[in-house]
Amino acid sequence: MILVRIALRNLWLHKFKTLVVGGILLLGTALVVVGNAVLDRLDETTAIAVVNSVSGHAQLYSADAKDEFEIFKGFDSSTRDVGTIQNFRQVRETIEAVPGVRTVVPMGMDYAVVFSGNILDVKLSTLREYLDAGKREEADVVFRHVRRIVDVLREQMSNLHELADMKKVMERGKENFEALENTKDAGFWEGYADKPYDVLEFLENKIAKLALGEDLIWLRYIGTNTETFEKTFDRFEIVEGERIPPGRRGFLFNKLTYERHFKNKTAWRMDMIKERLDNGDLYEECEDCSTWAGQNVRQSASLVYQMDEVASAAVRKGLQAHLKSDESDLVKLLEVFLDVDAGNFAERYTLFYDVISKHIMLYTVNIGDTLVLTAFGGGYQRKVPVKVYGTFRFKSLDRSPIAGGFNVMDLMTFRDLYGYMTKEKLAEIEAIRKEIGGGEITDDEDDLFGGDEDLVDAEAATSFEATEGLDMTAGGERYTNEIHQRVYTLDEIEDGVVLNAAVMFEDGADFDDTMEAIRAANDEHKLGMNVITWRTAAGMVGKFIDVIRAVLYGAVFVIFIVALVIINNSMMMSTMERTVEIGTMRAIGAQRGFVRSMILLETGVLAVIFGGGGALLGSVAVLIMQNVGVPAWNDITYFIFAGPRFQPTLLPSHLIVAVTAIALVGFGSTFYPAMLATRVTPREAMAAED
Amino acid sequence: MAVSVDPQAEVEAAPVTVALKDVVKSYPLGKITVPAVRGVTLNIHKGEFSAIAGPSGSGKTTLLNLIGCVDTADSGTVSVDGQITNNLKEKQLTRLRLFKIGFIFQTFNLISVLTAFHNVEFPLLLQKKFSKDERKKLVDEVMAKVGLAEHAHHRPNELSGGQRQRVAVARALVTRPALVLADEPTANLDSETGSQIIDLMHQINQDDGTTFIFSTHDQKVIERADRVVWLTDGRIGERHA
Repeated sequence: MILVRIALRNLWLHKFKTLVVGGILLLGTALVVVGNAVLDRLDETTAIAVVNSVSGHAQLYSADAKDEFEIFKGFDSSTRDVGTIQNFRQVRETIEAVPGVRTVVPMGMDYAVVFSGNILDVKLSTLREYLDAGKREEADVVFRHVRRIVDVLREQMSNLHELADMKKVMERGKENFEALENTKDAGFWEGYADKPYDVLEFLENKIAKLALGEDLIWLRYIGTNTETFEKTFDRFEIVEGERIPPGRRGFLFNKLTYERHFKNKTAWRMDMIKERLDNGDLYEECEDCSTWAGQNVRQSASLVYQMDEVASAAVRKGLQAHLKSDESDLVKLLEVFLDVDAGNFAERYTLFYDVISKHIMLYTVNIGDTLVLTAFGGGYQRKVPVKVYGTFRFKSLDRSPIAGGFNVMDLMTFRDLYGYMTKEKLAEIEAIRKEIGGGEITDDEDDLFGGDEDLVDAEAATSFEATEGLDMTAGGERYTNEIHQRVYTLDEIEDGVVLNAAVMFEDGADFDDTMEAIRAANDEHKLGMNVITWRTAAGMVGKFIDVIRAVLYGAVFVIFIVALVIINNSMMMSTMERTVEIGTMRAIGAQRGFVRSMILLETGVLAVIFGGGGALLGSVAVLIMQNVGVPAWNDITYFIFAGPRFQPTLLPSHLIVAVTAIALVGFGSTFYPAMLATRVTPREAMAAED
Repeated sequence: MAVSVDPQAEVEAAPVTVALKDVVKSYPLGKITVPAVRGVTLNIHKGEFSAIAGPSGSGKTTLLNLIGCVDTADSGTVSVDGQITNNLKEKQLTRLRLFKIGFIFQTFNLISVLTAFHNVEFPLLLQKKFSKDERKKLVDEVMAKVGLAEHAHHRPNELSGGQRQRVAVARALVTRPALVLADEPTANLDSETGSQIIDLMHQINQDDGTTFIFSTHDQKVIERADRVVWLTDGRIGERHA
């Protein structure tokens, strides 16, 4: 008691110093509590986001890899060599036998390119369909629309002419412009009456490619056993369409990618504005919203461009009624209509989907369509058709482009696309080339796929390089249908190249033990795999937490070192100042232990008061965050929070760490002064001149 | 050799509280050793009111330190209340001080953050012998004795020099020690206050028979002592008050 009293009185005596040191301790402790609570939860949410979306708890890839495997790698590193897994079935069977492992999911991750297709392409293919089917009347309507599009295109091009250096542009695109010039001639269009196919082909070959609005879209994909993938990653869910039937080839768009890249831009921007407003943003304060609305207004013409005369009339009528206008120019009507504000947005959003959206190409690729994926590499360009079954999302990660960047397809399509070349595969291709009697097989797709059905099946299943360099969009239709109907067996799916494999653990399995067991199995069975944790596989995303943690610990360390130095210094000072007092105590009969306790307790009381205060403050902060939640403010936070809100939890361990840290600082800073104080002898009390 | 002579027979008859025999003490000063006490033999009897006098550097404080168990002799023996201190460990010496000796210092040496009451209570707390109530009773008693009952809850910095030294006297007395050592108790006081303090100590000596030994070089204080031990160059010379 007397010690506490002395300690408190001494602290009170040096109020300013006490406040400074106490303030530092308070800040440090609060930071430790909040920091640890936030980081621990962040670690969990990141784990949820990474593990349950694509990574699994561990990733396997070939030990022959020249580069490190990373799931969330960017475009720039897409050429990394991560080797291949040739023995996936053995790997799966071995690893799935490891205790704690639930499933091993084969994967192949890479990029493919999709040409989004432009309106002219789409209309021309519709025109061809009608012509083929002999539906001349319907074809005529489409034809008139095509002619309108080409007229607009020519106008746009000549505008470009005026803007750019005529000569240069002409040199570069001489042929194109000559082709376009041809369409000025009314005679060209009249030719349609007699020889529709001639006109159609000219448009397809020479004009369509000039149409604006065609995007080259890079798609990040995971080729996988779609059946096990769905079962393993419980965050996976179908949004539209259906799942890829087991054993079938097929493609699922990530909903986010699909909306962002394949939806009509005007519609997408309307959606984005709505999402912001639904999130509680005020239109007036949403800068993006007015930017998006402005873009919509400026691009009104692009909507009109998509409508044939029937559609135009319908939309015109609808807009005139809504806007109470007798303006007949549809572009102008749309400009007024799309210039939304806070008051009319909700109504116009509804109207956009009721009146306009059904008359435009809302998505450039629809569910059920066949998508042509293009991949490059190994000196070849490979085009592989695949049926789009639907869209999916990772639950609560659906707005994060990090998780939303993955599209899913079957392994067969992946292998076709990836075109992995081994020596024996190259030999096989060579053999096929010889068989069909050509050095290059680019133009002989009909020979290859139109003739012999068995050959198609066999090659599709085992030797995907048979499709090397083939453009399947037109001539490969039969092949496309063929492979889309095929149901592949598990053997076929598993006996082929994959790039990596995700390992999902059982619920409750000890992470480190299971990792250890997998590594042991890998060594024992000579699987030749690199075994890495999700954290390593997640690359920067996984390291993100470590970086923050390092920063936090660094900050805490500095704060505590400062506190340690200040406390140490001030205790040294006060010990020296109190030499006579301490000597007196010793003379009167206080033992060394008493003196030591007195000095230590002084820091102890300081630590208890301010450390306790800091821990309390930190706990309150964490509890507030826990109850209110921290909203994700950008794509990365959305991902690492594994959802729109972040709610850290306060655990006893966070307080224990804080208390331990404070105790260490307190003891560390005062140990030496306390030791010095015990060396003060009772003689120091005698101030006589002797 | 110095010889202790005390004419008062009644004192002679009293038991010996402090006995020094051939005590030698030197201090290292740099590379040389400075002798401070060069063979002192001295008996202080119970109830004596003695002064150790001498000029600066004569070894007064050293002698007091040896008697007060703050220091131990290089040779010879020192015994306090029958206990020979030469071979005691530091812990035991501290205990001896706590239970047998009261200290009064030249600079009062109160614990600045504690009130007068708590300063006086302090040695009792170290003794851990008494309950809170007993402590209060003892402290109040001794505070009254030194005439500071009214000032029990003042801090040292709220008291005058004389009052502070009274608190120090109370602190020295509260444990009812066999011996009270006072190291130049009046040196920091004006002569009137100093005189009052000596009066107080003398009164207590008379009333309770407490043994007092104080060092001083103040002639007025020396005159008040029953017995004066003169020190010159670490040796006892004889001179009566």
